[in-house]
Amino acid sequence: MTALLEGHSVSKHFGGLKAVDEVDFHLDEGEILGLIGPNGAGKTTLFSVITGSIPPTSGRVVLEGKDIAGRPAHRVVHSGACRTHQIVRPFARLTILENVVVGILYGRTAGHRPKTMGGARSEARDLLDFVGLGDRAASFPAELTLAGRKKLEVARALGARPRVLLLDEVVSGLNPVETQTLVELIRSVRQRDMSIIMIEHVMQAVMGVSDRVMVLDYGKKIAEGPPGQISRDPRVIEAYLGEEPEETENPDDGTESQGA
Amino acid sequence: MRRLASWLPEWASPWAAAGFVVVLVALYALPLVVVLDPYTHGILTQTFMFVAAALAWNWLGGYVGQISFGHAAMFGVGGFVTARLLLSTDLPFFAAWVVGGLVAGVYGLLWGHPTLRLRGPYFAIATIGVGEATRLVATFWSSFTGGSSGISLPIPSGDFKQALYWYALYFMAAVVLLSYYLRKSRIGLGLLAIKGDVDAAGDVGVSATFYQDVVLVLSGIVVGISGGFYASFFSFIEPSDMFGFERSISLVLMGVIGGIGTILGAALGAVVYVILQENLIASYPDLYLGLYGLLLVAVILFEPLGLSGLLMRGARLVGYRPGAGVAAGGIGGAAATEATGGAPEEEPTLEEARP
Repeated sequence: MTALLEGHSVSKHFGGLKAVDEVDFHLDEGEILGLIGPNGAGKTTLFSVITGSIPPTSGRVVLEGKDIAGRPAHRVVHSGACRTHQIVRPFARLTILENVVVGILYGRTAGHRPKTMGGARSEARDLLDFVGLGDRAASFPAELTLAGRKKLEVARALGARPRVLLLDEVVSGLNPVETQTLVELIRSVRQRDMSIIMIEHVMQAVMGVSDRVMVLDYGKKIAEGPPGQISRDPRVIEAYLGEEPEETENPDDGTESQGA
Repeated sequence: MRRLASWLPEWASPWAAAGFVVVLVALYALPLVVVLDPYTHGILTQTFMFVAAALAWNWLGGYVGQISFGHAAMFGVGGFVTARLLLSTDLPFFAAWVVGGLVAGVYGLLWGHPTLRLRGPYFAIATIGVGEATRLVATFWSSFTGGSSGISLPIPSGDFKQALYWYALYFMAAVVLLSYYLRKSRIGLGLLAIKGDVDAAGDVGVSATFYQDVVLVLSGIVVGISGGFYASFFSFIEPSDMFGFERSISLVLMGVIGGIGTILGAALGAVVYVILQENLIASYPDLYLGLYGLLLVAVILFEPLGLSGLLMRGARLVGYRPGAGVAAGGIGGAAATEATGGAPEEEPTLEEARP
C-alpha cells in the first residue's frame, strides 16, 4: 500500500441522489489516472470531495498517509492536492501573472513559499513560460482564449506545487491543435514529480495520456484498468452509448432524469 | 529616486511614497504656518479621522468585497469604551483610544466570524441587522452608554483641541500606510482573490475565513479608534449618533463617492463627505439624506469607480497611462511594479460599486 492518494468507499449524497457512491480509488506516485464517465456520473463531485470543496458523506481520502476527507479546501491544498476547474475560474481582476502568484504564495505551506513578492513573481513568470503564457503575464485573464485560460488554471495550480494535480476537463472545448498542446503540457507536468488525476471527455486525450483509467457511472465505479482495456469494456460502452441493458447493473436511485 | 526605492519596503511604490510624505508634511505644517480659525481646524481634524475610518471600511468593502452596513457598531463600541475609560480611569487618552479600538475589533470578530461566510447582499443584510441590534442594546444599556441622553466627557483645554489635529493626522497616516501594505503585500493578493472568486481562492490555498476575519478585526480596530477619537473631540456622545444607521451609511458613502477598492478614493470620499455634510446639513437639514441618496445613485450610474474613476478619466485625457496600481480601482494593484506602461483599462463593473 504505497499509493500516494487513496479513497476508501468515498460517498457523497445530495439528499436522495448518490452523486458519488462508495468509490474506492488509488493513485500511485508518478501516475496519470484518467477519470471518465457520462455527464452526471459524479466525476467533478468526486474531485470536489477530494479537494475539500465539499465534505464527503462518508468514506476516507488519504493523501500521503494523512486522512484529508472533510478538511477545508485551503488545507487540502497545503496537504498537497490542488485542482483546476472545468469551467475556468481565473481571478478576473488580477493580472495573469498575479493569478499565478496567488497560487505560489498561498498554495504552499509557510516554509516552502518564496520570501519576497519579487521571488514569487519570478517563479510565476517561469511557470507561465512553462505553460506557454510567458508573453501574456501583464494581461488580464479575459484577454486570453479559452485554451489560454485553461493553461492559466494549470499554471495557477502548479504554483501550489502539489503532489497530486487534479485536472477537470482541461482539454474539452478546445480545437485539435490546442488539445495537442495541452496534452503535451500534461505529459511534461508529470516530469515535475507530480501525479495527476484527470477528468476528460475527449477520449483521444485521456486514452493517450493516462496510465490507467477509471470509469464512473451514476456515482459508482464501473470499470478500472489500462486505457486499451477500458475502451473495449462492454460496461463502459454501455454507459456511454446507452445500449439496451438486459439487466440494470446499478439500481436506479431516483436519477432517471440523468440520460446516460 | 532609485536609491530611495531600494530601502523602501517592497510593497511601496517610490512615487506614491513621495506624494504621501509631501502631503503629510504640508498638513503637518499647515496650522503652524497659517492661522486656522477654530471651525476649519476642527473640520480638518474630523476629516483626518473620517479618512482613517473610510479606509478601514474599504479594507472590507473594497479589498474583500464585503460591503458592511454595520460599521457603526464598532465606531460606537470604540467611542463608548473610550469615554468610560476616560471617565473612570487615569488612562491617558491615546491608551483609551487603543483599548476602545481593540474592544471594537473583538466585537467585530464576534459578529463577523459567523456572518462573513455570507457573500454579497446576504452579508450586507446581516450587517444591517448587527448594526441595528447593537444600536438598540446600546440605547437601552443606559448604565454604560447613558441611554438616549448620552455621556459627557470633561471639556478639553484649547491646547488639547489643537493637539488633536496632529494626533488625527498621525492616525490617518498610519492607516494610509496600513492600507497600502494590505493592498500590495501577499495579504492584498489573497484578499483580491477572495473578492474575485471565494471558492477558487480556497482551491489554491487561500483561507477566506481566516483572511476575512483578520481584515474585519483590523477594520474594527481602526473604526473603533475613530470612535474613541470622535468622543474625545466632541466631549459628548450618545448612542443614536454613534451607533446610528446613518453612521454606517456615511462610511459606505465615503467609499462609494471616492471609489470602492482604491486608497486615494476612500480618502477623497471622506473629504467630500465631510464638506457636503457640513454644507448640506447647515442649509437643508431636512433634505440632506435625500441628497445623499441622489448622489449615490448618480455615482453608481455614471461612474462606478467614483472620484478616483473620474480622476483616471481625466488622467487619460491628458495622455497619462496609469500603471494598474496607481489609483485605479486597481485590482491589478501589484502590477504597478511591472511597469508595463500600457496596462489595460480598468473596466469598472457596476457590481463593485453597488453597496
